Amino acid sequence: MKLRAALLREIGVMAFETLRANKMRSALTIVGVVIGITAIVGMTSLVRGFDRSFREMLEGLGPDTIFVAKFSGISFMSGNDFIDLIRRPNLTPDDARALERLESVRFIDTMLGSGLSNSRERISYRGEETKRIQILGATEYFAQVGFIPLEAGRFFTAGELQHRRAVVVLGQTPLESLFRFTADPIGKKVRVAGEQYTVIGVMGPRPSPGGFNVGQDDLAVIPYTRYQSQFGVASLNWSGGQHRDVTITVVPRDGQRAVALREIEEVMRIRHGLRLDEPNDFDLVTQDAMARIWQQTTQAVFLALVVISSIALLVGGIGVMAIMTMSVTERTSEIGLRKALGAKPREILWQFLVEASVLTLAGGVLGVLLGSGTGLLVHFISGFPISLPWWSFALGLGFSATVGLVFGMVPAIRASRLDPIEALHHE
Amino acid sequence: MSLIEVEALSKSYQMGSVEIHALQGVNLTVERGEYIAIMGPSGSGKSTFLNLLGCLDTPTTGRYVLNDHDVSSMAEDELAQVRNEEIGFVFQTFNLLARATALQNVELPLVYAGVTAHERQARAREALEKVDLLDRVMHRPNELSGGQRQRVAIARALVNDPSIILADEPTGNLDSVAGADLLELLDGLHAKGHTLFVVTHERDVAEHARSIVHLRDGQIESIESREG
Repeated sequence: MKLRAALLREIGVMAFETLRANKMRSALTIVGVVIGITAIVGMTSLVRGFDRSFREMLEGLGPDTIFVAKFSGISFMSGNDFIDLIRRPNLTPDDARALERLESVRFIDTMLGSGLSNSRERISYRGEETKRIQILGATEYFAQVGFIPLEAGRFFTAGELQHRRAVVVLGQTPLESLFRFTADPIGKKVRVAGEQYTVIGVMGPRPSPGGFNVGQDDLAVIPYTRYQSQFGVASLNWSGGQHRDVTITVVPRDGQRAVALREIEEVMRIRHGLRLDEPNDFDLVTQDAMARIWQQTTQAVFLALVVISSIALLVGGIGVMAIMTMSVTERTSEIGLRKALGAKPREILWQFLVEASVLTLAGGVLGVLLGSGTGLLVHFISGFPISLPWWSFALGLGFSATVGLVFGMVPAIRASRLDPIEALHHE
Repeated sequence: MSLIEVEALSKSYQMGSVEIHALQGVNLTVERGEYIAIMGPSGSGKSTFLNLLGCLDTPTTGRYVLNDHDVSSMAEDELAQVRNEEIGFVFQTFNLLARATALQNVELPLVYAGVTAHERQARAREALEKVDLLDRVMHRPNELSGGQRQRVAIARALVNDPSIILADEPTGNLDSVAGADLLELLDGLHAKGHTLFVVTHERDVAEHARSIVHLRDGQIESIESREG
């Protein structure tokens, strides 16, 4: 389509002037577009940011780590009923001991006190007291399995585990609230839910999705044997199923992941007395399985996002179509005049198309600003990770301009086809 | 070659089941620099003739040659270009863009001619100078009197240096003083060599022209010459 560049520029200037002259009406027209683009840019920044940091966290777990769980996201994804899942047999520390004997397993951590039924307790030291935090019972392998670096001191040993020693490794949150004024916490006596423990180590900050604070450092770890005798294994009753939180984390020997997976499955099936035709009543979760679930989740979120934005843009587009139709009717005599003065039909067409897309593009710019503003605001208030990729801006602006072009087309064609004589004498 | 050659020009409209012959076999030759008034009662075909002369419409049959362009069979885009280059329109209702300044209104034909912004402004100022409105270039139509508005419209008609200027009842919306001023301005344009057509139903307006074409029932009834 041939159109002189100078004229196109002129049309752009005219479009801006028209919109400036009708500020209120233009603003109302583009509300839908603004909402749509804000949703696209804002949600993209949040979802992408969360996604990126979640993947980083997953990678931190190590590619070979296998979680043995009563149930997980995987069982939900495969359509199991929550009630059936809760009625599955609970994992026990004995399961972990059985798995430990496998040739392919390097080490195993048994963790109590995480998940659904965890009770939260306070730790105190010389009149200072923490808020309620998570107390985990674990093995000496806890730090290695979770890849948590120790900041000071040491982790407990197999011997301490076996002898139910009252030793505790503190997370960052209890460290800060108890030992603000004490140089070295190691060797100090603290009370965990009333009983006396010796601090033997301090964990560094734990990785979390994007490093924002979800209480990932609100924890202290004690030997799980000690945990059992002090707290028992917390259980939760739910529709006839009794749930205990025991998580078994397996790190296989190098290159033995597939073997370990097969052997763990075999041992667990035997221990649960499953017949050949019965399905597993436990889940084996690996990093790539988690990544797969996560990917499905983010894809679903993105799909929902696209649908919501499309509806907003559709509403916006219909608004633009209505306003442009009105504009063409109001300016019929102007169109007649322009034609009399030598405007060709396609020049009139472009004038209205450009006007419509300048209108929606303005909405798009506003949406990009509001969307990234929302993302940044959320980031600065909560520390939620965000990502503002340039392509989401381009997408937002491209979409908004396209809405103008598409929905402005019908009124613009109508304008370009007006008969100059009739249009000139239109009142 | 004359500036305008009109041969057996006819225009018919279909109005429902009735065919209306608005113009029937009009012949007219016009030389450069003429000043012609077109008169006639309503329904005589004045407007139809003016629309054809202004290339806003094409004839059903017959031939119309304007400045060597055979306009009779042109397509829409070509007609638009001829209107842009060869014709200056002056309307009874002025038809200025309300949002635009006098200068921007006068620039409008040059926008469609693809003239650069800088040159457009210079030429629009020149045209406004010819109608003695240089002190009003930044005024919008609602800040101007009726007579001034029509002078802006005349500046707009002059700015693309057209072969002919078509004025449709140019004094129709003006009071007698402003009307007289405007007719004087048209006389001045004629004196400078512009070719003018004025459609009017007022005898004293028509008497400014050098010849008066009387239309009746879609045909030329007579051509009254007022030379000398």
